[in-house]
Amino acid sequence: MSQAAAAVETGIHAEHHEDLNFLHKYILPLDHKIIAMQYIFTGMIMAIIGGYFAYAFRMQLAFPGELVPGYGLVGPGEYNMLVTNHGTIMIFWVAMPVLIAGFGNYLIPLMIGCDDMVFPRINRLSYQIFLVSALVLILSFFVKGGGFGGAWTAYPPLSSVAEYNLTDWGSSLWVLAVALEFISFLLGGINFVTTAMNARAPGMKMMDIPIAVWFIVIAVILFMASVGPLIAGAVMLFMDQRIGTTFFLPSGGGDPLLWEHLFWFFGHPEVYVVLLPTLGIVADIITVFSRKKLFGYKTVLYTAFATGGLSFVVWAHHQFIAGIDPRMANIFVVTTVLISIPLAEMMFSYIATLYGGSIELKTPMLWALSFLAAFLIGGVTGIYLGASALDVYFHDSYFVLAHFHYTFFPITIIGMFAALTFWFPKMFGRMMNETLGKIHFWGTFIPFNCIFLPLFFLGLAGQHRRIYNYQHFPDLATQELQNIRIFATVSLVVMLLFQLVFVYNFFVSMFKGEKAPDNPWRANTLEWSTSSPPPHGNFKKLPTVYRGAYEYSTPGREEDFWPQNVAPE
Amino acid sequence: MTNPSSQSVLFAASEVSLTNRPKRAKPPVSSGVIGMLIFMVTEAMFFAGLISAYMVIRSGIEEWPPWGQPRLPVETTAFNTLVLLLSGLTMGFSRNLLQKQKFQEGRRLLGISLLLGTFFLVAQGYEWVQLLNFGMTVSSSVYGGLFYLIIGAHGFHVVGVLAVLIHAWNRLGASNNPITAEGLLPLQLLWYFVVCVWPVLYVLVYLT
Amino acid sequence: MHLQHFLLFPFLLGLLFAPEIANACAVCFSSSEETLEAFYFTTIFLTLLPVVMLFTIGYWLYSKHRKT
Repeated sequence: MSQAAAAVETGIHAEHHEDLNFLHKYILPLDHKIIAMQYIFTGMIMAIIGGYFAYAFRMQLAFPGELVPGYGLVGPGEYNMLVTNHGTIMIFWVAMPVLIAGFGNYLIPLMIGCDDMVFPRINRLSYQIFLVSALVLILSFFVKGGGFGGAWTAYPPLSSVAEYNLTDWGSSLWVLAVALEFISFLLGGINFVTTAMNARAPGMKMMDIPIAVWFIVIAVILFMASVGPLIAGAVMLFMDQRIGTTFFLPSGGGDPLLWEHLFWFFGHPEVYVVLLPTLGIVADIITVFSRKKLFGYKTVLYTAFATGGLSFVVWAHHQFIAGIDPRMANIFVVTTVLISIPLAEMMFSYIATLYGGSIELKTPMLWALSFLAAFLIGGVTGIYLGASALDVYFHDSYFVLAHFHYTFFPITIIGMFAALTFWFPKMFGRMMNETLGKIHFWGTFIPFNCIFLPLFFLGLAGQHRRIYNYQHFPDLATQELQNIRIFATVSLVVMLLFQLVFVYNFFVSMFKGEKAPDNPWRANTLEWSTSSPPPHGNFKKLPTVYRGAYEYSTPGREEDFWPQNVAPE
Repeated sequence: MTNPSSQSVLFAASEVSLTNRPKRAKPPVSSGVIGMLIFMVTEAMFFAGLISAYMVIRSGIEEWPPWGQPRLPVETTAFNTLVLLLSGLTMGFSRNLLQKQKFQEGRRLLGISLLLGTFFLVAQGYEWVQLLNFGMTVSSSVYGGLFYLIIGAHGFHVVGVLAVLIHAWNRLGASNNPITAEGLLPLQLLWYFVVCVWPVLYVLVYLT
Repeated sequence: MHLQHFLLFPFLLGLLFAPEIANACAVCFSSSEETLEAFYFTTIFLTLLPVVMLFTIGYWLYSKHRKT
């Protein structure tokens, strides 16, 4: 029993122990729901920092050399630091903690019907290490020389030699923060897989587990199996920076290409690590709002396994022009194009689920559908980049940048909003405002396309990444191209302003919203069978599972949903 | 805070007791073992990364060891390898005894296993001191850097696992909150991992 | 499927090994053949190791679940 529950039982001393109680409930919790909230809120704060960085460097690109309102002058070094840390924060401190750690923590125990994670203390430790890693990263912005500016991929020798990157401590703290973050997710990941294996409610078979849980677990396994080489590489990079080894320095007998291999061996599975949770969440949302059984549960599941397996054999497509053996490059072209098959299959399954359903366009459903549309563009443009012949020309251009923002933005931001709006009633016991939610949706989705669609054309025009001022390049300094940059930047500012609607809606609904019933969306999965918000220990009585998670509109039943825990007549 | 449900309206409506819950069926593989297996996959990939780094860097250098760097003590380390393997073996036997409820003998054999592990660690430390005396440091060459990185990473694991296992050994016979054979198993798995990865590293670093 | 389709497949696979000198970047190529081979080997090693380990553990867990 947790400290909090114990304190409530001895209610006489409640006043005396108020601080302790609050401390153990919200600051040092063992309850997976509170830990999930900690992860989600920390991730959202980091998202604000990352968005602020994006605002600063986009303003510099649109109006080069002018003072950015709310930031100041963006110099070349500053620009590099901003883009580097924007990428790092958005991937490692927003996508990972919110989608995997946050929603993984919240959903896994609730969806499989158990009272908490298998190792609650490791869970708590995982968040604490994560918090330290975020603080170390923020600290790195303020040390002498400023934050690290060698791109989020940190290629040596730029990242390993202080004379080149001019951020002696900034780069070391960056490596340290990333390594700490990996250790945190390692601890969390052990928990997720073990919980899903061993703590399922009685009667829940492998094929009754909701897709969201399956996908988070697969993502975690991918992460665990791919992160090792990068931790090894991070240790070597740190030693290169601080104690004078030469693992990545050609002058000392090392090999800079080695880092690219170790980094991308993790880096590419990482893309699928953040993609799979969102795909799982979207699968759950679209079945609920189209009142239909998920089309091909097993197909979707097996394609996820195939994606996971293939994700280990595509990583060298990031080195097509780094000088790898062209024979090897060819093999990686084939595997890269192959991985689009399971993902396309998954997409078709989702679209087939929508087909013929009675679709309700509630806010979570809008987010889920927009994810499918936007991610499709990201996926299709990825096929061009996967072909090595084309990649030679597209590499490191804005085409690449637009491509991966068309994948990462739907995964991270749209996925996060879909999940938050869908599970908000369960998390806080109150409904979100639908009208404001829809305003926020359109105010985010339209500007998002206005930002990144033009960037494809800038990339095709030959605009290279990581340049802080294009006025020095005659071909790129034309007014035509500058107008596109200004358009993208204005769209970004509009999108950021619309996030205020969400923040307002979020906090007002949390305290003043309409009280939510236990099952506001009439969904099947187990988390909707308990009260909103669930009590400590989740379920008053441990549920028993009788059927799969997606029994909607079963013929011969009056109601169009059939919760997993309702006993058959 | 007078009413627990009013202050906790944010996150949890009310508290329920976690006692008196129906017990679920005992899983076929304990949570500790599953967690440790997943952790071992990560660890194996960590060492695989180090091995890859060694092979790539080694392939780019003609003279190995580089000029002016000492040769590694192959023979004494071979003996040391045997000691570590023996430690793994006695660890396995001790588990057999513990499963048969022979706590005294099992605990003694586990102690022997841990002593052998400590001997391995001390011998490695002695070897490092000698190599440092010969002028091989982390930054003297990439050869030295790789040696200290890989062998150091393994040594770090040995220290960590030994510390945890000695703590468990103490609790094996403790009167309150003793550890069982099943509770010991995940830690033993980690020791087997450390033992099994050593011969690979030995062949890679010392023999090639 | 016809026989010639089966023959086409290894032929296409064989083509993959043909372009030995079609390097996009003339100056940043690894210096020696040994380094290329080392990258080859470590790529295969790193790629197969997790797949083999996960499959083994997954199968072992699956068979344990089957028994109970």
